Amino acid sequence: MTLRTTLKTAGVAFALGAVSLVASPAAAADSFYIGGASGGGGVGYAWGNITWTSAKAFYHSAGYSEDDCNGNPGDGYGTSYRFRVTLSSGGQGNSAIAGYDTNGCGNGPTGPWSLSETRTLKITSTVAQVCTTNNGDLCAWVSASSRSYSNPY
Amino acid sequence: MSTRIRPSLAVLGAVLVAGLGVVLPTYLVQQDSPTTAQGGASPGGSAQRGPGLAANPKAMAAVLEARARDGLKSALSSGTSADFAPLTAGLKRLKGSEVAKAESAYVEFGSRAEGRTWRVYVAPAIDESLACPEPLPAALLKCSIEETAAGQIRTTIMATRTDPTLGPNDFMLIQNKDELDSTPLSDVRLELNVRNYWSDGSETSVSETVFAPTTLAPEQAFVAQESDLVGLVSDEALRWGAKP
Repeated sequence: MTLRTTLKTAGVAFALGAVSLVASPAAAADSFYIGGASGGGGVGYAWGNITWTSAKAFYHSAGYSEDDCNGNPGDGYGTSYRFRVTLSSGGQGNSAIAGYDTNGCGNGPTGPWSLSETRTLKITSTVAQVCTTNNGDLCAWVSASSRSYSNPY
Repeated sequence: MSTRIRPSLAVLGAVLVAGLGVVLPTYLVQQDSPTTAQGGASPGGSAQRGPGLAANPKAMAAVLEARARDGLKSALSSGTSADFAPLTAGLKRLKGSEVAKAESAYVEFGSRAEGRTWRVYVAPAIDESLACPEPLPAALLKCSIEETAAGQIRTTIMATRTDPTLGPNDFMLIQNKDELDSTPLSDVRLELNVRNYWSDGSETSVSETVFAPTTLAPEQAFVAQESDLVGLVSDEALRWGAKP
């Protein structure tokens, strides 16, 4: 392959790539890292990636959840996380629980977790939320939320 | 009220226990040593440690409900329905027929619509010890720890509130005193929780949850007596135990 051919090929590839970027913001990804305090002085953490796949869907991957006692003895409550979605109608909803750590503090994070979220309406944005488990409730309350991730589609 | 056992009965009891030890499996008569008692009461007494609820999953729902109804009889009316939920390790609800797979379970009485629920939750050991944070966060109206012969028992009263950004069944911890004072009681959820970590690590937890209480004063807000909840979490029949 000559240098000229290589440059020509690269130019075409670049042009095609540019067109595809304009046509669709495919696989727009965000990562998140959130933590929320529990009543017992500890902190629940969750982190991972969010990849928008269409106007109505995103995919969460490489998710981890950790119950960190933050230097305090354990309080017996675990940690879970999920996604709160806002729809084009203005309505809101929750994803299923994306991941959890009910092993107690000091045992390290659990994961990797993944989740696909698809709605019939456009999802305008989502926010990851840490929840505190309590007596068999996987997400009895939400103790923190982080910034919202907008859907580029 | 103290109960004194007459010597003749004590001798008879000892003979019977010794006789049972010959024919029964060891775990049925094994006496577990009490945990680090530090002068606290002994609600469970020096209870025998049987195999626990997990050893007989088919009976779990019936045992949980019966013992819970008995322990909460001052709070529950006879017509209050019970909801039994066997759970996976990730707290996903199993069908009743899948109870043998359960990693923890609860029975719940009442409903949010009725303004009040009571839940008895049982789970196997996790590697934790209970504590009260210092200073207490605003959401914790009470936190106390008692070391007993039955285990390490923690009692908390926690205040959470609804929030328009959350789902209808979600509640945020109340963050500070100002928020506690300014939140309408109609948005508040109060939870009295007593949980016991048995010496084998099993957890038994009992809660009364009040939605939209008329007061934040515990003695008026909760129907169940705290001592009843302590009695329930100290009930040997409500210990998860080890799977056989």
